[in-house]
Parts: sequence; structure tokens; C-alpha cells
Amino acid sequence: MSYGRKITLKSSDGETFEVDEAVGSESQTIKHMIEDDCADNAIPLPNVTSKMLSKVIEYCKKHVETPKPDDNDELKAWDADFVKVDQATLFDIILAANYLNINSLLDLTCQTVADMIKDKTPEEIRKTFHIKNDFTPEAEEEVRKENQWAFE
Amino acid sequence: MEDLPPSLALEILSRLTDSADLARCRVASKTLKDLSYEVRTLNHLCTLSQYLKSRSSDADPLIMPFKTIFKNLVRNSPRLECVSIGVEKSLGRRSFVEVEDDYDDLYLSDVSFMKDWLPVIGGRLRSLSISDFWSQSSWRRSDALALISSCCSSLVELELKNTWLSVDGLNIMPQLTNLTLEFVRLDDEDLNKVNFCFMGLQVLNLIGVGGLKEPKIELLHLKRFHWTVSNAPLSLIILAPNLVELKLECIKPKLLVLDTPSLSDLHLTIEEVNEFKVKEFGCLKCLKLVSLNPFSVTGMLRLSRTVKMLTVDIPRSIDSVASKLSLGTLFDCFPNLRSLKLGSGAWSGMEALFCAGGLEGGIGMKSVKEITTYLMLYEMDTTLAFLFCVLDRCTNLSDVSLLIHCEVDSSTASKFISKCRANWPGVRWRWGMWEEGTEDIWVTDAC
Repeated sequence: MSYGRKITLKSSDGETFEVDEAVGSESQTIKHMIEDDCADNAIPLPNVTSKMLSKVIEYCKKHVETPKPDDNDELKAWDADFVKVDQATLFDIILAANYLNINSLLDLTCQTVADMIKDKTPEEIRKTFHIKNDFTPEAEEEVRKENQWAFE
Repeated sequence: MEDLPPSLALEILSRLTDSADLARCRVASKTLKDLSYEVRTLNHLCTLSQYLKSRSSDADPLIMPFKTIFKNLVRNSPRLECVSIGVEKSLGRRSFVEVEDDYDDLYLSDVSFMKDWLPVIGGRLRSLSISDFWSQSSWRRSDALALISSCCSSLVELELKNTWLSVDGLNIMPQLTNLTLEFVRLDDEDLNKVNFCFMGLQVLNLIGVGGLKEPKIELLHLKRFHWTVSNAPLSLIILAPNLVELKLECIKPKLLVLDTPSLSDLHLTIEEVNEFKVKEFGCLKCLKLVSLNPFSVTGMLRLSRTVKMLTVDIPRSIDSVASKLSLGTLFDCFPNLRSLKLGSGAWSGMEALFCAGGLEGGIGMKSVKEITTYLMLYEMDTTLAFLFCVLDRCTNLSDVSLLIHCEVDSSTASKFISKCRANWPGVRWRWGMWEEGTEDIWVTDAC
């Protein structure tokens, strides 16, 4: 089923994707470009690779197609599966969702990362996200003492 | 994660619902530490295990008290807009009789504690929630409302639980749209101060609010209202011209007045009422009624033409025949029903009446398209006879969902299900199991 006209999106690596206007409009960035009449030719998205764009389009398509009561269990399950990707991809989706201004996708992906942090120790957090410990030993000791209550 | 711009790392940190998780992030790296103080939300919870540790005889004297940790967190986070502080649910309601607590280390509505942190962030605060520790708060009257109204000019959402509140000194808060008072003793016996000071409310939850005598809610902008009230108040009056959703759980008020002409969704749990004054509901679409005597209530409600979805139940504590709730008359009262749901008490009562005197027709039988009912299956043949009679009369019925109590043995249930399917193949059947206090389990979807 198609709603209205089709628009063409062009990724940073030159690949083009044709989608329904409704699907593209899930992105506020793209929606504004359509409204400003910049959508007659392909809309260039220099910050989004073809791999990411196809993932984002998959998300937007599903959300446009699914009827929307807030307690839609099937959609929630689909979303949970959608974010079962490796960490690098997850962060790339966050960047794409932010650039394309897709609130629900940004919310979903950021919440997923937050859920990964939950209940972890600082060491586990550093390990999971490859974060460098940039404290001096003295500073680390101090911040650990200040936040000792969180380790009980 | 280090490659993310700070604004996005902050989006992630902002979604950590527990201050302890945020604190552990702080220790992970300096970058995360600096970002953590930019969050807009703080949720600080005292768990049961933290409480027990603080009370144990070998408690470490160096552990920072809960309130001190919180004050430090607030002082270091200048951008806070949503703050919640509380004790874990299991701690919140421990009765005063069980636990005498003269300490105030977890007395969170204590104004002298609140004065230490609320004025600092009050101007920016949009949402505030305090879940107090009943053992320490129930016997101390708090002026928290006065302080909040003087410090928090931008507050939109307020939630206060498990405490005793005075309304002395409460200033008007016209910008407040959401208010929840749960398990609160409120010294505003007719809710006059609430109506006057919170005149902009759109969503109101009064759950187990005591201290009321003849409470009246008169709020022009109210859209959703959930009120759970004991039998102490003499009367219950709701005047809300824009109210769309009402959930009212009461017992036996002498007088109940509902002046809510825009109501679309009404969920009413009530044993009985002496005097029921209700203006006509011009747009009521969805009605859920749980009552010992639903019939007398619906008689008084005088609504009906607009109702499309109806749920009725009778608490099983009474003799089901005495309810006199007949299915035929129910359909007479609600001629435009699309969807009907019957609790097990309501079904049993109607089944008993059917056995005694058959099933008269009702206008609504022609319009209803789906029926859901909760069954005990004490007498399978009787239930089948009643069910088939209903299916016979409701000529537009396309979907029937039956939930069988989980104590019914599976061979009886299977026999029942196959007889239904065999006799009414044209209907879409859906099956499930139910038990009091747990969520329904659906076994198959439509076949």
C-alpha cells in the first residue's frame, strides 16, 4: 500500500532509496525538506551511510504501517528485536536517528544503551563500552569515595 | 560510546532511572562524570536493603545518610527539571503500628529537609515526586505544599505519597496540570483549597486520600480523574465540565453527584448509593461498572444511548441471584452496544436468572458484535444452554472471547470449547484462562 507520492533518499555512499512520503516524513529533517520543496530530486543525506539508511527506513516503514495504540505489544516486540544489533551498529543508529530527527527511534536506541548500563559496576561499564579511564588515581579515589553509597 | 557527541551521551545518561546507576557512571570516567551533572532528571530511591542496613547493629557509621546523598546530588546538578525521591514500595506502607520510628532520616516531607534543596532548583523544576516513609511521616504534619507552592513557579507535575499534608500557606499554582496524592492524610476536608489553588489541573489522582468529610471537586480544566475513596466522606461531588475519563472507586456514599457532561469513559466501582444525582451523559462511549447492585446504579445513571463498550461485574461475595441483573434488561438499557464484557459474578447472576425464567430480548442484542465473559463453569450444561441462547439472540455477534477459570479441570474445559466450536462455527472464538489477582492468559487467538 502506498500513501501519496514517493521520494528518493541518497546516502553518503551514493546509494538511492525510494520510499513513500509518509515513511520519509517520520524523520523531521526529511519532512522539513519536503515541506520546503527540496524533494523533487533525491534528498542527499551526507551523514548517513547506505547501511544505516536502510536500517532507519526499515524502522520508519514498520512504524508507519502499524496501527498505533500505545500498548501495541507486537510493535514493542518488533522494536526490541530491531535493536538486537552489535554495539557499533547501535551507536551508528543513534547518530542517524539524531541527524534525521526521528524522536521515537532516538528514544528507543538511547533507552537500549541505558538499559545496558543498568546495575553495572564502573569497571563493567568501561569494559562494555570501551571507555578509557581518564581519571588520575587520586581523582578516581575521590570520586569513588563521594559515590560510595552507590556500591552498597 | 566515547565517539558519541556529548549531547547524545547525555541523552543516554538521562534515561538511567536510578541515581545509583548514574553514580557508578560517574566513577567510570571523567568525561562521564562531567556529563552526569548535566542530566535533567534525578530519581533517588531508598531500597529496603539500604534501610535494613542502616538499622542494623553493625551499621557502618561512615555511610552517608540518604538525605545527605540526595542534597549533594541536587546541589551538583544545576539543570534538574524532574526530581523524584522516595522509599521503595515495600517500605512505603509499613503500618505505624508495626514499626514505631521516631527518627527522621527518611522523613522526606520534612520542610526543614526540603528547604535545604528545593529553593535551589525550584524555579526550573517541572516535575516533583516524593514518596515518603509512612512510619516516620504519618504522625508528623507537613507544610510541604506551602513550600512547594512558594518555590516552584514552573511546576507542572506533582506527586506526593505516604504522608500527612497541611494546606496552610498553600499558594495558588495555576501552571500545575497533574497532581497525584496517594495514601495521604490531607487537612482539606472538603477539598476547597485544592480546587482554589490548583485550578489548572487536567489530571488528578486521589488514591486513598483520608481526612475528607464532604469532598467536592470543582475543576474547569480537568480531563482525567482517578479517585479511590473510603466510606468516611458523607458525600462525593464532581463538577468538571471537561472531564473525559473518570475512574471512581467508592463504597457506599450517601450522596454522589456527577456533573460531567463531556465524559466519554467511566469506570465506577461502588457497592451502593443512596442518592445519585447525575446530569445526562451526552457522549459516554465506554462504561465499566463493578457493583453489588449494578442494576440500581444503571437505573440511576440514565445514560445508555451512546455507550458502545460495556463491562459489568458483581463481586462474588454476594449471592448472585439477588443481584437481579438480567442480560435482556441490560441490553434494553444499552441499545447501541458494540462490545460487552461480563465478569464471572455478573455472568453467574444472569445464568441463574436464565435458569429461573429464560432470556427476554433486549434492543441492544441486535447491535452487539463482540462479547467477552469470565466463566467458572460450575455447571457446564447450564452455561452452554445460556451461552447458546445468547448467541441465538445476538444476531450480529461475530467475536466471542471466553476466559475459563484456571481451577476448572482441562478435560471439562476442552469439552466445553469443542461443543461451542461445533455448534457455532460461524463465530470467531477466542479462549483464555483467568484467575483473581493475575493477568489473563489468552490461549488461542481468533481461529
